[in-house]
Amino acid sequence: MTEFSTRRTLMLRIILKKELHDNFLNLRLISLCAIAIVLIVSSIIVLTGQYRDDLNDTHSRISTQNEFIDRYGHANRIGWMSVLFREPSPWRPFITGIDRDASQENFINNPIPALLSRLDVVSIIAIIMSLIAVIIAHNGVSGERESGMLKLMLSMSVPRSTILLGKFIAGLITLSIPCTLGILLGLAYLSITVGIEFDILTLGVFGFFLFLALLYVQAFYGLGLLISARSHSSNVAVLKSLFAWVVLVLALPNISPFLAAQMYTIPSRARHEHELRKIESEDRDARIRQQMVTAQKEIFPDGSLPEGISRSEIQERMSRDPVFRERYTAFMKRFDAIARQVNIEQRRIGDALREDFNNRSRNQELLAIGLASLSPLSNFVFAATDAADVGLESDAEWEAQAGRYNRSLREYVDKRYEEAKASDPSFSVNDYLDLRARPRFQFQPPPLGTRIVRIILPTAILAGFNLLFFVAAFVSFLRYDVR
Amino acid sequence: MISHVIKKEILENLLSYRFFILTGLLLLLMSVALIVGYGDLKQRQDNYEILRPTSGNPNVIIAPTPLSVLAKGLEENLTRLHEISVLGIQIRQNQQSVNRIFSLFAAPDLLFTIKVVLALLALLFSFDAITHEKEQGTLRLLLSHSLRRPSLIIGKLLGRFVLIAVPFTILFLVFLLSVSLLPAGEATGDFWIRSFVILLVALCYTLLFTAIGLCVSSYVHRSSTSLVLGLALWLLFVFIMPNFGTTIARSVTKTPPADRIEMEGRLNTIRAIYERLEKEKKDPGHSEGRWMMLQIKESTLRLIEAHRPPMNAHVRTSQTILRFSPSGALHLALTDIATTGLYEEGRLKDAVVEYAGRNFDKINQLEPGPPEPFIYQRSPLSEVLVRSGLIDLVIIVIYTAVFVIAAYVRFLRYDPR
Repeated sequence: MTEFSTRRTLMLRIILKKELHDNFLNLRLISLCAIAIVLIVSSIIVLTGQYRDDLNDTHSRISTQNEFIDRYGHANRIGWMSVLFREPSPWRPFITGIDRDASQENFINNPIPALLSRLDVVSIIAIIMSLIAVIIAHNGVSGERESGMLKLMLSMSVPRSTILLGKFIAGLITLSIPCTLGILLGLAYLSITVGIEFDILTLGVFGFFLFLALLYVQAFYGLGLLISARSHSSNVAVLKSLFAWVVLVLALPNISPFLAAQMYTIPSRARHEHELRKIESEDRDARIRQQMVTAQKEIFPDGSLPEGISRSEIQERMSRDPVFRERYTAFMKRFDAIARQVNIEQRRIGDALREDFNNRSRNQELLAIGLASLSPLSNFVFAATDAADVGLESDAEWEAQAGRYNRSLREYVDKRYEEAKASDPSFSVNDYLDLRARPRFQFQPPPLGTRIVRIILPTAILAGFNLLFFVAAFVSFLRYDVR
Repeated sequence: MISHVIKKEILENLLSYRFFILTGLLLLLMSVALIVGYGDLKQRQDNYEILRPTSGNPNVIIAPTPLSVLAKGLEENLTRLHEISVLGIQIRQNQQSVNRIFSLFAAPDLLFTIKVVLALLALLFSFDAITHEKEQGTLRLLLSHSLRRPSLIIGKLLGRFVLIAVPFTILFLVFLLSVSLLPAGEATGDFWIRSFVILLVALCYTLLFTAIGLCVSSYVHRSSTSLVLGLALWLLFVFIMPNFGTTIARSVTKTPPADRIEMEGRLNTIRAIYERLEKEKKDPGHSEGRWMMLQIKESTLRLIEAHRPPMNAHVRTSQTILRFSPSGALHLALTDIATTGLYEEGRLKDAVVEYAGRNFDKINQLEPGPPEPFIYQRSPLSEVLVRSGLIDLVIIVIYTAVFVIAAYVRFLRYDPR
C-alpha cells in the first residue's frame, strides 16, 4: 500500500513537471500572462494616481466645510452644512467596486463613468485571466488525445485520477504566477507612492483578495478541463469553452439585475414617491377638508361661518361677537385635533408603504444576487468588493456610523443653542453659534471579522464551483475514450 | 471563381457544430437584450408620465426614446428629472431603480451584444480560415488548381462574413420588428432610418472582426496559435483599450468630483441665506430676499460656468482616447446615432442651462408671469453625424480596410506547405 502511494506521488510529480514544462515553454501562454501582468500593474499605477487625487480632494472638501461651519455655523441649517464625505477606500487602486461617480447625482457630472466602466484589477482578473484559464485548459484532455500523448501515458499504467490531479495542480500554479506577481508588484508601487500601513486588516484583505482571485481563475480552469474531457476534439472543446465563458462572464452577471427586475416587479422610485406624496399630502388635505366641513356644520349650524371668509373679517367678527369667538375657538381646536389625527393616520399608511417598498426592493436585490451567483464572476466580484468594503454591503456600515455622528452633532448643537439662549433670550436659531469644539467624524472601517462574515457565502459558492467542475471533469475523464 | 469559394465556405460551415453553437449564442443574447431593453424602456416611459411637469412647473424632463433598446448609453442620464429652483439645477437621484447591482455590471443591451459578442463570433468564424486548410492539406490542393490567391482570400473573407452577417441581420430585423410592434416602442420613420444606419455600422464592424480573424490566420501556421492571437486582439480592442482609455483619460484631464460641485453650490446657498438674515437683523423692516436670490443665481451660474468647460474638455479627451479602438468608436457612434450618446448629453445640458438662465427670475418670482415651457427635440441624424458620429464611422471603416488589406497582402506571401 505504501509502495503504491509512493509510486502514485512520484507519478503525480512527473505529470506535474510535464504539465508545467508544457505550459512554461508555450510562448503564446507566456505572452498572454506577461500582458496580464503588465495590465494589472499599469492599471494599479493609473488608479493609484486617481486615488491620491481623490483623497486630497476629499480632505480639502472636509476642511473647506469645517471652515465654513466655524465661520457661519448656526443651529438652523447645521444638517445641511455638515454633509459627511466618504474618504476613498485605500483599496480603490485594486478594486473600484461601486463607482459613485457613475451614479450621476449631480447636474454637472462626468458622463463617462456611466458610459464605460474603469479597468481595475478585479475586471482584469474577472475577464482576461478567466479567458486565459479557459484557453490553457481546453487542450488538457482532448488535445492530448489528438497528439497521442494520452494513449501513451495510460499505456504506462498512470492512473487517470493522477493525470487529472496533475493537470489541475499545474493549472493552479501556472495561473497563480501572473495574478500574484501582478498584484504584488502593484502593492509594492502603492506602498512606495502612497505609503500603506501593513496591519492585520490590510494583510487580511490582501490575502483574501489573492485567495479569491486564484479560486475564481481556477474555477474556469476546472470548467475548461471538464469541457475538454467531454469533447473528442480540441476544436469542439474550444468552442464549447468559449460559449460557456461568454455565458458565465459576459451574459449572466449583466443580465441578472434586469432579469430580476422583470421577474419581481416593483414600482420605480418615482412612482413610489408619487404615491407617498398623494397619501401624505393630497389625501391628507382632502380628509382634513372633509372632516372640517362636518365640524363646521356642527359648530356653526346656522352657517354663520361662510366659505371664503377672510382672516381680517374673522378678526373683526371675533372682536364684536363673543358667541362667534367662542365657537371659532372651538372650531380651531377641532381643526388642530383633526389635523393631528389625520396626519398620524396618513403617516402610518405612508410608513407602511415605505416599509413595503424597502422590503420589496431588498427582495428584488436578493433575487438579482441569487441569479448572478450562478456565475463565478459575480461571486468573485461580490466577495472582492465586500472584502475591500467598496461593495454592496459597504453602504450600510457607513450610513450607520454617519447616522450616529449626525445625531451626536445635533445633540451638541442643541446643547450649545440652549446655553446661548439661556444667556441671551433674544438669541435665534439663525444667529451665529460658535461650534468649533464640535465632535468630528472619523469613519471606522469594518474589522476583518465583519468582512469575513460578509464574504463567506460567495467564497463558498466559488469553492463549490471549483469542486463541481473538478469532480465532473474527473468523472468525465474516467469514462473518456482515449482512442 | 470568388463565388465558388464563397459557396464552398458557406456550405462547409453551415452544417457545422460551430455555426449551430455560435448562432444559438447570438439568438440567446439578442432575445435577452430585447426582453431587458424593452422592460427598461417601459419603466422609463412610466416614470416620464409620472414626473412630467404640469404647465407652469419649471421642472425639466425629456421623453425616453425607443432607440434606447438598441443602445442604452446615457439614456438614464438624459431622462432624469431636472428640478430648477433657487438652488440651481438639481437632479432627483435614483429615479429608475433602487437595485444597486446595476452599478456593478454593464447593461446587456444590443450595443453590448454587437460590440462584445458579435465581434467574438465573427472572430471565431474566421480565425482558422487559412490555418485549418493548411493543417488538413487542402490549401495546397486548392492552390494547385487554377484558383488565384486573391480570389481565395476574398472569397474566404466574404464567405465567412456572410455566415455571421446573415443570421445577425435576420435577428436584428426580427428585433426591430418586435420593438416596433410592442406597445411602448413607437416606431417612426426616424426610428427605422437610425436602426438601419446602426445595422450598417454593425455589419461593417462584423466585417472588421472577420478580417482580423483572417489576418491572424494568414500570419501563423497553426489554428491554436491563430485563436490565441485573435482572442488577444479581441480583448485589446473590446475591453482593454476602451476601458483603460477612459481610466487614463481621467488622469490626463482632471475633473472635479461630483461631491465637490455639490458642496460648493450648497455652501454658497447657505452663505447667501445667512448673510441675508444678518443684513435684515441690522436693518429690520427691510427685506433682502431679492438680494439673496440674485446672490444665489450668480453663484449657481458661476459654478456651472467654472465646472462645465473642464468637464467638456475631459469628455473630448475621453472620446479621442476611445477612438483609438474600433470598439470604442463603435460605442460612441451607436449611442450617438440612437440619441443616447455623449453628444446628446452635452446638447441637453446646454439646453437646460440656457433655459434655467433665461427663466430663473420667473421661476423664483423675481419677475411676474409663469416660466415658459421647456421644449426640446433630440438631435436629428444629420446633425449627430456631422458633429460627432462621422469620425467614428470613418475610424471603423479605416480599421476594416487596414485589416482586409493586411490579410490580403499577407496571404499572397503565405507558405501553404
